[in-house]
Amino acid sequence: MKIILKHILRNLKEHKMRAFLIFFSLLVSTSVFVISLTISDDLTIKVEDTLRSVYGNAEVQVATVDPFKLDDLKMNKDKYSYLGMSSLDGVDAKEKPISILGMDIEKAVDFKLLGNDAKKLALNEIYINKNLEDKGYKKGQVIKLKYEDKEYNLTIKGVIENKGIASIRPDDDTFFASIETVNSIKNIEDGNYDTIYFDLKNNNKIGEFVDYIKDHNDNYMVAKTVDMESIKEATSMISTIMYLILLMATIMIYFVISSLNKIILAERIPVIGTFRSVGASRTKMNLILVLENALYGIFAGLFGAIIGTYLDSYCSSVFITADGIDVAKSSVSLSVGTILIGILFATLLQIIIVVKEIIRTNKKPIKDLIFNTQNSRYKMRKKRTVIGFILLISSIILFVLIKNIDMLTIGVLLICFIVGVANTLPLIFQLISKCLAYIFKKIGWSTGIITSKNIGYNKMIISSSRLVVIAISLLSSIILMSKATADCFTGFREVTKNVDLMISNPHKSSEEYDYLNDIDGVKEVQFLNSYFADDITYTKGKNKNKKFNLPPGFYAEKERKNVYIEEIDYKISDLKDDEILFDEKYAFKNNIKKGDKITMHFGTLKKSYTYTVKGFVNASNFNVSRNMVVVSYNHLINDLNGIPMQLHIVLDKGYDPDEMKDVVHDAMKEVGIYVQTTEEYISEQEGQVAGIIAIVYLVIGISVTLAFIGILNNQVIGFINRRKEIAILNSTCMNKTQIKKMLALETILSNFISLFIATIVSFITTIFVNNFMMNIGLYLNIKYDFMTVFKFELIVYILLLLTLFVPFRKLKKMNIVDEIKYE
Amino acid sequence: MSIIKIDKLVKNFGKGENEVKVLKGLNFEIEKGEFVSLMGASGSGKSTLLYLIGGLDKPTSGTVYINDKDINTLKEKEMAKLRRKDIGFVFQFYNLVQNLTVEENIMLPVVMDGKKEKDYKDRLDKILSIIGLSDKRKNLPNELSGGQQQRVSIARAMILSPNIILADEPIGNLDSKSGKEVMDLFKKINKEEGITILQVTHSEESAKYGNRIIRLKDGEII
Ligand SMILES: Nc1ncnc2c1ncn2[C@@H]1O[C@H](COP(=O)(O)OP(=O)(O)O)[C@@H](O)[C@H]1O
Ligand SMILES: [Mg+2]
Repeated sequence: MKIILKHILRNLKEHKMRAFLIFFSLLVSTSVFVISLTISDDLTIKVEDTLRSVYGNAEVQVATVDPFKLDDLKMNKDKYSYLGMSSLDGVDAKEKPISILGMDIEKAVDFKLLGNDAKKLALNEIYINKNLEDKGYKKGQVIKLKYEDKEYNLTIKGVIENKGIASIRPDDDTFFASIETVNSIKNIEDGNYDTIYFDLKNNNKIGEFVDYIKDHNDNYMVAKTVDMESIKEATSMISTIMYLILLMATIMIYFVISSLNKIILAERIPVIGTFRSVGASRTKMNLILVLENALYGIFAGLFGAIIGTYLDSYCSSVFITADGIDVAKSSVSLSVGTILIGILFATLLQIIIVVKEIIRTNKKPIKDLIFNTQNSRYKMRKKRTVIGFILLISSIILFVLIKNIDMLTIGVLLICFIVGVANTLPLIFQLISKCLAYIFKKIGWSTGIITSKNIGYNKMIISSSRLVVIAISLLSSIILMSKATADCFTGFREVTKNVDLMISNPHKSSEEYDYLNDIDGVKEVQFLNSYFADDITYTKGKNKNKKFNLPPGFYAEKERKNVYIEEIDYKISDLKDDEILFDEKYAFKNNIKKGDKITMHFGTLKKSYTYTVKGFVNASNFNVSRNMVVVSYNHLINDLNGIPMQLHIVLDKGYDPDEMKDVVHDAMKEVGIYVQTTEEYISEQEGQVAGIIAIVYLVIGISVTLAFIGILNNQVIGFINRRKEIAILNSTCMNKTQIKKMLALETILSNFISLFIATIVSFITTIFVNNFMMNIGLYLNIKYDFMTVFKFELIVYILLLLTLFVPFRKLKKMNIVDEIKYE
Repeated sequence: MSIIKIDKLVKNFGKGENEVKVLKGLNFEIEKGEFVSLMGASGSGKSTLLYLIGGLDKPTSGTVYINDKDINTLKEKEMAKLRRKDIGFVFQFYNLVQNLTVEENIMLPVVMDGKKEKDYKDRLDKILSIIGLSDKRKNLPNELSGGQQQRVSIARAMILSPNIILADEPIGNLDSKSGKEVMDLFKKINKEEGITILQVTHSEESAKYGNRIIRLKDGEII
């Protein structure tokens, strides 16, 4: 066996370029596979770690606006420890807002809600956060705090680490004090809190505990501090996108490797024949070739798993944007399991790609193998063409026919479609070649006639063209997808064109912000009113307590100012309190029709309302998931959420938003708000998407490189395979210039045809991709932008024409006598 | 008992109008230890006959018996075994695996037979000295002359001590001096190892190395 291994290794060494190409293709595929496999878990762990580092041992948080006592809560458990907090928002001597969190400091350290350095505080002693230290506050200093027209002197005992709850809003000014200090300022009795954290001591029935409190108490906000379910839900979408990229990358790599493999086998046929003639059975020969391919898989799988693991931690950090909180850095850990799975994946993939061709080659009689009776003429197999055609047509028909198609089906149909295209392509090429031959015959151009025949019948040309069509159409779709992702805020940007400042996270109802109108330079204050909660279910007819694919966001407007939500068939201003409009895509997805009567159950609010669906809207400007419904303003404000989601400020002409941002922030005596210019707000949103796009472009870049090298390789080997043919042509009827012309024309025409077909194919694959994205709840609205595809194809075309230099150089160096000596 | 027996062997290529009748019902036998030369004009079907005997191709009708066994009834695996153990092939263009050394090429049949290489070390040394290439054992094929390469392929055919060596124009591509060396080698292994040899040749001179000549013309023995 040693000899066989040597033979295999030397094969790899002798064809470094090809070996590297296959290795690299598998590596890419394995890396993406490993990322898809682990990113969801990795993200989940990271988010979980982050939340745990903030909330320490606290598992459940119960809060209200008005102070409450522990005894006020009806609970179903008595084994727990708890930490009560009382907080207030005041201002300092310069009227800057400051919030104080009061708690039993020692207990908070035990709960890991504060860092170890915090010690017990006496009355009117405080710790300050890092942010205040940066502003020049020092230990020992006495600070004046104003709260409800009274002044208090507080002594700074020290600075607290940015850990636990101190890390939630590191940019705010926050004091930490004993509960007695805060309660005495608020003038309420001891034992009153506005937030209580519970540690259930490893009790895994946290959900039950939360549900019980929700069901038996009114007006409390009750939540798990770390809600694994919603974290998992959020991360699964990202891994689904990675799977789509994996699918496309793998399809592309399939064609790169299989065309390389065909060439490798074709070249090796005499050697295979020799092995067989000295007594290797068919099975043994198959095994030897499979083993050789398995080697690629093993190495590529190993390195792919390593690279994938490291890229994974990069990718997951791209996706995480927990507001203001420093994300826990998960230590990259490469497990044996990951490596084994990576190796298994790459090896299987490689073997699946090559095994059919290996077996087919070995089926040939030994005599044909030894004397390599292969020729470069493409033999069309009728059965394959027919099957290809059936796959092509049926995948499109099924795609159109199946309503509410699921993700897996789309994936399968996409593969069927691509396989269908790949198998019908030779026929298309032969038809086109016949047409061209006819035209050239009419003109009487002999080079043209030979060339057009080659295009339809030369193995290498057909194999390269297949690669071009598949790779370029899939890449075009990916490009359009990422373009749509990049553009998903253009709608919002357009709508908010006249808005200068955006204030997020306000705490009061809209009337209480009237004072903003008095600020010099503020022309108008607008309110964005909505209600988001993830515990909304609905009842429609016999369907009781159903979940939506994504929980709906409720939107309402007092008057039509900016078109966040486009009306389609019903005026938002005409809505009555028991009427509702659905985003059209969201309604389709959840099978909701005009006229439906639907009862929504609001878990947190513990209310239910029944609505009649009056029509549809388009919420694509508002968010890409489009999980939006519109209700009357009255209903939203009075029953669901009286506090606006955002305040939008329009400035008078001549005022600079960047300066006004600070003016407005100072004027607002409120903690926890963010004032941003519209540009800042949108760029921040876009920044979150940019990471995804960066990854997509990385995949595109690698794929283009792969496809290009693959085609270059095809050119080289195509020429080697055709040496004899070219030598004969040269010795009998054509001079080198004519041969050059023929080769050039071949490349120009065949790639032009390929790209033309790729354009049509990409149109359909884009529809598949679009539907896939919609299926996971991203209405990216991927449009078939011909110009983008055209530009991309033009670049590819130029690159493809450049590959001509390879056969040109070889032709120059070719010695005809050598080539035809053995004839 | 004859080691090779050909019975009404027919081979046609192509179908319908394109059908070419290459072998038209051949009958002959070769005894163990014979050295037979097969002669005939180019295109007379010599190679075709050789491949049918070696099981590289299948006859249209008729039977090839090796050691009284109809090779057409053998399964693919048994056929591979037959090629490994009972028959050695030598081709005009040597057919050496270019990236394996001389000794690795010679050892290929041993590897394919699943035998341990070290058990064949002595045999390898002996064969290398028979073909006179002991000093070139670590060389790659392209570092050898044509005659040397052909001797390597003969060594490969001999390594498992086959009963028969089938050679298709083994010196067709060699100069006369190298050709003579190869023919001497055949004579030697036929005598010393008792291997039956069936060679296809164009040259009357090399045909004389054998003890019998079979002539083919238009698909028939004359
Ligand atoms: N695979 C094949 N298909 C069609 N005809 C073949 C094939 N192999 C050989 N022939 C024909 O059979 C005849 C004998 O060929 P061959 O045995 O190679 O002759 P020789 O070796 O005596 O020169 C020739 O006419 C050749 O054209
Ligand atoms: Mg011949």
